[in-house]
Amino acid sequence: MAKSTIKLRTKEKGGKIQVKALIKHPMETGLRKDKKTGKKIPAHHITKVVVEANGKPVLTADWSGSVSKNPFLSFSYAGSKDDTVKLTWTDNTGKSDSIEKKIGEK
Amino acid sequence: MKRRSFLKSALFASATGAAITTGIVSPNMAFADADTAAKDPFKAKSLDDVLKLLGATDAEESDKIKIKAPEIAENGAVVPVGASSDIDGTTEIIFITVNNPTPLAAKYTFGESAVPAIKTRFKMGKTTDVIALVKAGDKFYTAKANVKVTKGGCGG
Amino acid sequence: MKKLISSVTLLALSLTPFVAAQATPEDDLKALRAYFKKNMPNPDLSDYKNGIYAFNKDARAQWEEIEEFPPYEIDLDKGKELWEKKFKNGKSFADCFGSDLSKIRPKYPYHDEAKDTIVTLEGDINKCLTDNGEKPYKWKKGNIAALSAYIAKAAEGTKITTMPKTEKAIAWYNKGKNFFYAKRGQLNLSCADCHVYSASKWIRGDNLGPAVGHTTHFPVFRSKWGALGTLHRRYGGCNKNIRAKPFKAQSDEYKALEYFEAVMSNGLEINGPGARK
Repeated sequence: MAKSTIKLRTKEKGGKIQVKALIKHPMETGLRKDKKTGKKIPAHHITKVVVEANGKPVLTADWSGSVSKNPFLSFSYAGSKDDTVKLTWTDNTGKSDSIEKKIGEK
Repeated sequence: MKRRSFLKSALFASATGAAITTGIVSPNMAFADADTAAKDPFKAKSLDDVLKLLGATDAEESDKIKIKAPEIAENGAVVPVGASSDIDGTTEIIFITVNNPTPLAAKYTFGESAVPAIKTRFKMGKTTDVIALVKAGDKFYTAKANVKVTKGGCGG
Repeated sequence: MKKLISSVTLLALSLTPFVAAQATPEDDLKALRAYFKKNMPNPDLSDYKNGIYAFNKDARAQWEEIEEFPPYEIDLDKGKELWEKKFKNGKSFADCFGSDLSKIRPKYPYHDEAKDTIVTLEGDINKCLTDNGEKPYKWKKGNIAALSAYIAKAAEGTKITTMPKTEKAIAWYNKGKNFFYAKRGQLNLSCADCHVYSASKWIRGDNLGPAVGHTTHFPVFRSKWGALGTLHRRYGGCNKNIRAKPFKAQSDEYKALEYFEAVMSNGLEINGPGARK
């Protein structure tokens, strides 16, 4: 099984589900020059993130290369501790990864 | 507006004329690319263009938007930024790092059950205003913070 | 009579961060702590493990945001993987270090009396690999930092107890102490110039962290590196910055410096890995 690039943490508190994610990704802007070759490192960054709760999107993010390397996001939605949360990212090269967790699952 | 877009496509057409005749690029594809590139707010290089392309040139300042960003960034590569909106019907929070080469940094669209608040981390190339642009219904609202980015003395 | 003498000694100690070269490490430690207490805005001693964040509120707020979900979490997963992976000969790191992860980090650095050398955690990680026929890791980043981070995390909260007792150990300690206080490089600065005499002050765009607490939070994830790095990686970088020739990672000089610095952090809690700028 391939290792996931996504670390997802969910917690239920007062009827709200807190969702925090840390994604392993270089988030290259395409403007940085390789110190050794002097050539520009091609843009390689996540362009879309979709977070679903029980199959319904609760958050959609459109990202530029200005988002930091190994990007982080944190938000919450009204839900229950029996929910299943899924996060999917896609980058400008067409690569993608996703992870699905039950609330509180490590 | 019309003349400008005409000129743009004419220039593009002449530049890709050769490509089109040799069949590398189909005419439809060429024009579609030009249109997309011209209309993509993520490719815009100035705050004005970003706002124009988002249709947010009439955005009003609002104290119902809270934006949290440090006064002096510890490191421009990882600057924690957060925003929340108390405006009814908020559907989007958009972040603009004004002095970055392409100012539109991120757009967050909230589902019905989501709380319109978000925390994230941005890269900032230099001292800049960070604008949180909120879309509620058909209208746009803004709040901003200024983040100083310095070059360290003692990186190592 | 005894009371009068000890209070005079303490007063003398508090005026300088260290006494004569013949002073014991315990005396030096007391003197350094007293110097900080007297000359800096005063965080609790236990907060020194957080370096400059014990002094700078705006920087601390940013650091706390990052520690909410720090980028080194990805490296900790890698560290766990490395710890659990079996070598070609069927053994694993637990065979070298013991299976109680929480007891490993607090041992280091220590003075090996028989070999008369300082042993560091990274040193023993690579010794374990080579003893078992595996290729050693590179010293400053990558796998060694990930594994060191995993091991450090397991000992979170344990106090540092490094303190030289034998004559040979004290000699190594003094080697590190002299390195720390000696001027070097084109900019003619000693470690102490920035991290003792100017701690909590600014050098261009950087806020200088205190020497007390220097070693507690390594390996460190620096936003600047966008990655984890070991203590010796940081030492090398810092020396380069004052335009001094850096020493090699795990060289005698840096091992002695690490030993000295660990003593100066004696009593503080281990809190590695840490996120820094």
